[in-house]
Amino acid sequence: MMTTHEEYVHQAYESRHEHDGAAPPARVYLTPIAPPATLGLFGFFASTMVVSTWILGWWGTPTGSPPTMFEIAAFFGGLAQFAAGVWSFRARDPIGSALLTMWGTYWMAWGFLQALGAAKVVDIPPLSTAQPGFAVWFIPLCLFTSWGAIAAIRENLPLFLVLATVGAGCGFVAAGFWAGSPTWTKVGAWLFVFGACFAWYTGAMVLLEYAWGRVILSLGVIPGLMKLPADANRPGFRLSAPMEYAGGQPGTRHAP
Amino acid sequence: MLQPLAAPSILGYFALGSALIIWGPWFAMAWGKKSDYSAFFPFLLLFGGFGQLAAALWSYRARAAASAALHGSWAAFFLGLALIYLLATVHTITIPLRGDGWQSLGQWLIYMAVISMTTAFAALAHSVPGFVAQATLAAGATLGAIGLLAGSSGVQQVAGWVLCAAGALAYAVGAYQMVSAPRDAVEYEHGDPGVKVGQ
Repeated sequence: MMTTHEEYVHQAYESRHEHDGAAPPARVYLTPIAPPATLGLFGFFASTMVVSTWILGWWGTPTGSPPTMFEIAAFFGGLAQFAAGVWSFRARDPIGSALLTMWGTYWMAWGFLQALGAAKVVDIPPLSTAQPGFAVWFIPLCLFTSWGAIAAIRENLPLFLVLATVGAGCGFVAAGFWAGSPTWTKVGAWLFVFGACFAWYTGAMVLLEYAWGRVILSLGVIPGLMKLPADANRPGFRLSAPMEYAGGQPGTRHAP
Repeated sequence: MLQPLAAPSILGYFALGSALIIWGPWFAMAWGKKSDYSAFFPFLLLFGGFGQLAAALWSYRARAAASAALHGSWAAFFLGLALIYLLATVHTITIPLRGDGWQSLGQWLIYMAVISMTTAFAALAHSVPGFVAQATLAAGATLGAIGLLAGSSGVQQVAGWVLCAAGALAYAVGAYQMVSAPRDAVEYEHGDPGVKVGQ
């Protein structure tokens, strides 16, 4: 005796062959959206610059600054970047959907930890003290970000540089926090500063190309290695021809 | 498949303008006491924060890249700032007095200025008023960063008024977008909302 599921499959198969013997046609809807990566990369840029420059001692004090620093990081590097990562699924962007979402969760988690520290629920030690419980955060971040860098080799050089420097920085920071070595942590922070600057460039590059309909900042394409044409490096080049209904509401055309 | 929707940047500009018009003059020491953030932070949290965030996320469907980046960034800023004021209100953290130096907030404003100038240049492709509002916002954030990092109450006062002006310009851009109908919107006027323009 057939089960319910088997009956369903059998009936569907028979029904299909009763008509014309062909599978019903599949419909694929393509719906354009604005690129979500820019907000995510801007959130990463600002949060990483603020925290990394603090680690490097460019501003603030070791214990006095974090209580008024983590809140915006939790929302900008955290929630906003997370939202951009989730929207990247609709943009069909495997790198953005995975990495922006993952880094968004990192910044929210870091903000949560700092909030518990500010409330004196947990004790947050100084950078010179070994913190294996925090160091281990950076092991998966290092692995997945580095893997994203390998994937970005087919995309564009700025994105590759973001992920390569940040992935390497995670390795140094993990080692620094594990061993309680401020030197290694600061090497990682320097790499994060470079990665953050590349993140701003990449976000601005995507945003300006989309808004102006032509290349404004070079897309950093290595011909033959990356998917885009070499002309994508040339400011003024029209890289895309978006579908638009010029007289319509936002959604049917590019909007301000 | 292209799907029309109302411009999310109307809400975004109104939410940004509302937050700036309240926070800017207070930051400029033009009204209220130093502790008045305890009374207005919920508004910053919900309108300047969540209101703008909703506008930013709908901007992806509206294909408005500059709007998504601008409102998403400033939504996060106001969400975070409101949380700072909340934690100061409940005495979990201590924040500097208004007019004094404040290193961490000054640092954030550096990068908000960079981002706002970037989105302003992107907005210039479609909207000169949008560019003016966002460039003014970037100028206010730059002055705010200088005032907070240098501990100069005078520069902070100027910054507060420039931010207030940016808020007024944001209102104007949002108001213009609300009354400027699309030239030839596709609709079935006897249909439900979504099929026709409006409800």
